[in-house]
Amino acid sequence: MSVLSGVYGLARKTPLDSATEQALVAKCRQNDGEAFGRIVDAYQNRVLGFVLRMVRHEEEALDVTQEVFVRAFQSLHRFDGRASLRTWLFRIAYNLCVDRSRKRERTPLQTTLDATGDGEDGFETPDQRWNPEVVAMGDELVAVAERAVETMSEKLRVVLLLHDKEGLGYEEIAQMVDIPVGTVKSRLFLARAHMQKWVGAYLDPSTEVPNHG
Amino acid sequence: MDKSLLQKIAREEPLSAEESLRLDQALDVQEPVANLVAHLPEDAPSLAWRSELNQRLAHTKVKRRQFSLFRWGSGALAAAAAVTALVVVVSNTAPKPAAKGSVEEVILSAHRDEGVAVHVDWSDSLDEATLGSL
Repeated sequence: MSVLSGVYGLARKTPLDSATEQALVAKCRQNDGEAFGRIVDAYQNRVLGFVLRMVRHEEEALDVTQEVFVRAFQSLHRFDGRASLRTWLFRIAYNLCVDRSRKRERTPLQTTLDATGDGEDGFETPDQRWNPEVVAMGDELVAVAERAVETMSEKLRVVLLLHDKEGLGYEEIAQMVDIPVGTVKSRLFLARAHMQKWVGAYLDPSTEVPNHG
Repeated sequence: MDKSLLQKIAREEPLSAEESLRLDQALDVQEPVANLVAHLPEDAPSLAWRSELNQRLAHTKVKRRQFSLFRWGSGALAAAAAVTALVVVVSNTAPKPAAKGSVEEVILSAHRDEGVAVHVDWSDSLDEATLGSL
């Protein structure tokens, strides 16, 4: 039985505001376990969601997510507050995912321009059918979108998730992944084109279904 | 978007200012995809997972304190050992006064006497030379 329970996007926990974050960090530095518990409460779902989509293995994702919070707890004295706590946590999560990926010697699926579509199907303008409120994010659409995320290369996936799912800025992602801002935008464009190709095929069955994964 | 720009984006080549602008516009057009990704469901870990995390965190705290004590204890021990070693080395190499009547004592005494004699000779010769020049 899965140890996860689905929480749909609209029910997501809002991130802590800057003042609350600073107050909690200050309390944590004085060994206030309850304050750290509040940080975990605020970010555990988001961190787990990111890690799960990165490592694509439930047990491993749960383990990595615990490790993220343990590492954060251990090195909170080194958190200088220049970035937000959320960005800092995602940086730890990203580094751990990269480490795991290297250890397992996974070969990520490489998404090239060809892999996103022969023609320009992936580059069309998404219409109203893409609006999640209109589509109501049915289970089928969620499954298709998740499959689209899963089948793109790791380097595209991380940019898509950090920007579109977690709301990090181009600069923050560039710093985290150690690539230029322009490359972040290029990868985001390709990642979204990949999504368009998959979800477009679901929304319009006459469209060619992607043939990978 | 034209094929050449798509190729440049796919190869992650640097873009000109005009191409960057077109990429920004293309990203704006893709906003509905971003919206879709933002609304993907989140997974909540179980209470058992959270309980396990709390245990790990509690253990981490204890471990950190133990490590700290160990670090201070071993540091103090190392410092004490270093001081002891230094005292032993210094006490073994410090010059000792020569024993009365020994060869060393005779040599030292002769050296001291010679030094005084040279000093006296120098004073005398200097006076003579000075007087001579006058």
